[in-house]
Amino acid sequence: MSIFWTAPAALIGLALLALPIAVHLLARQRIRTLPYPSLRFLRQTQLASFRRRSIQDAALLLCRVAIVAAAALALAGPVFQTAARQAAYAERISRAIVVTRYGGIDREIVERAADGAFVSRIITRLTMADAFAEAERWFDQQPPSAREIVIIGALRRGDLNEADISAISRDIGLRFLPSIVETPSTITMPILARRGDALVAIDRQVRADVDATHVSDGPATAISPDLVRVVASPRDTPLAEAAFGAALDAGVPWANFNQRILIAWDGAGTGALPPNTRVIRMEAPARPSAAADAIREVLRAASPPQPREPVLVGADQLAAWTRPPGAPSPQAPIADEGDRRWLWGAALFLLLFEWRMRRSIGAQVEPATEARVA
Amino acid sequence: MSRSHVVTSTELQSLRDLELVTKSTVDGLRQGLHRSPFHGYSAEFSQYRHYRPGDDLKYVDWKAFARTDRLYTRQFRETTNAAALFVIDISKSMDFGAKFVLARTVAAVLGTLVLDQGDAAGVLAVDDRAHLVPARSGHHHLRVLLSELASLAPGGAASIAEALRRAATILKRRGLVVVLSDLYEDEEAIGQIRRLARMGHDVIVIQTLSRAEVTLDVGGAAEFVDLESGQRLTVQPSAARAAYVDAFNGWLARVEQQLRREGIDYLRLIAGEPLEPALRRFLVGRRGRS
Repeated sequence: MSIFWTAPAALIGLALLALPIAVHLLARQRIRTLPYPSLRFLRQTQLASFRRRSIQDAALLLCRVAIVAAAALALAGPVFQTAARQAAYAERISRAIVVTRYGGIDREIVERAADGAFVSRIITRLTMADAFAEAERWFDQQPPSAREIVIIGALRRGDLNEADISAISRDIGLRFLPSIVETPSTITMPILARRGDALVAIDRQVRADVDATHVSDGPATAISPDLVRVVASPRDTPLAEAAFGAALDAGVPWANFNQRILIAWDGAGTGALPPNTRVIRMEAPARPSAAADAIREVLRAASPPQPREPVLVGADQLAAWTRPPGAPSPQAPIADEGDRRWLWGAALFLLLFEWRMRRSIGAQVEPATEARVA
Repeated sequence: MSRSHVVTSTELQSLRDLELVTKSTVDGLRQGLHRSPFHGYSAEFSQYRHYRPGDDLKYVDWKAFARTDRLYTRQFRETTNAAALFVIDISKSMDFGAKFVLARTVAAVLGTLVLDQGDAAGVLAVDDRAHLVPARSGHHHLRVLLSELASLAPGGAASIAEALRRAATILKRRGLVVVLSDLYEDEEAIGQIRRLARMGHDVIVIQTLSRAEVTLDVGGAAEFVDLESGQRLTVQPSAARAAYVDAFNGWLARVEQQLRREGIDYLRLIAGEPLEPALRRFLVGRRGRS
């Protein structure tokens, strides 16, 4: 068992132990002198009474020292780190409840998420990464306990990713409560695609339900084939053309149809450009298989921001990220657990004991008698 | 020094109706209240003795002769005046509480009574020197007596036994000796008192004590310093009180027993307690025994 002090500066109060000792010594030195007619009848009782008095004095001093020590230690706020208490630390849970910004969240679910927690806090930030960082900072200020982050809300793909999850300490548990009470929404996204040899514009309808995302394409409108082109060196032309075709076959989000786009593949020359043409230079991808994705990213980056595709993170992924809370952090600040009340109680008991002892040995001087004798 | 400094008029007036008489015979020069060792022809019948030629025939008891056919001469007790010497303890042990003041007051009261009844009174106290007022009678002597009493103060090195030893040498005729002391030097003092009694003096011992030393009524631990020897003891009175009171009372009883065994009158007075009833009881009782 070890002892942690929540206010170790108060241990300076132990210096006050010198006070009762000094009082004891001074009181002994200041014992009054009483001229008396004869000591012949005191001789027999002197040794016994003085020895008893000495013992009582020592007991009284011990009692007073113990009172001061108990008070000083109580002020220092001891926390006894027993095995049982360590186990209790691991049993209790500090819970950060991260609520996503999207959609309406069922308030009852949020409140219920706090049930059984030792301490809890609701955190809402612009991004999940910020929310997790804030949760970790909050955990650092909490007393020793198991730590858990509960994420509640519309868990959309992109808002929550592997990188965010891996940034969280492994000792912190994760739990997900997908909670969407919003009605399914439908987003219309303009798509640039190739149908046959022609470039077309398609209004793609994306509807996000609770458990699935439904995609349907509207009618295709033909557009100029020169609107988007790719140029590459003769050596790279086959790959560039193939990647460009594959990207258009899948469809690329696109809203900027009033401007020509020329993609210059890996430093290819563009020659004379027609007016209202934008040149986008790109490096050759490391792997040929990623070329289509590279073309898609270039075009996505060139287009104005589009509504994000409301695809929810899959249940399998959430299950994979879910993990139980680990052991409490050894760096967690130890809070006062009320152990000082035992010391205050001991000080109070000793105070009563000291009072009784003082009365029993008649240490108090009776002024009236003093005056009469004097 | 006026007598009011030693004894109050109230204390005197309340006891003025009493007499301090001797129990035993004393030697005196004048006729007085006290029995004389000399049998003569006076007012108080004492005894018969066989007629011897030369006896005054007027003292022959003719009625006895008629009954017994023998001649007896009636003898009468003569009374005389007495000389009282107050031997006061002024040792250091008397300097505690009000017991010295009490002793001085008692000496003044009894001295006044003695002088009032026509007897002689004197004072003897010894410290580094002897303070002696020889026993004389007459009211003019009262002022001298009280003045000497007022000048006495406790703190002397000599014990009461030394004063008694000097008294034994000073007193030439049998008289009354009143000893006022706390009697802490009891063995020596009682030895001297016994000597005085055996010399034929009528000895009265008045032991004056303070209440605090009888009951150890002292609060709180203290270093007790013996007034006589300077010895020091640290004592917690509450713890020592019971044993002290037992020992002290045992000692008082032993002192009283030793004195009474010798036929010496003993009176114990505690400072602070009413003086008049105690003295009255003592004097009346003594008168009854004489």
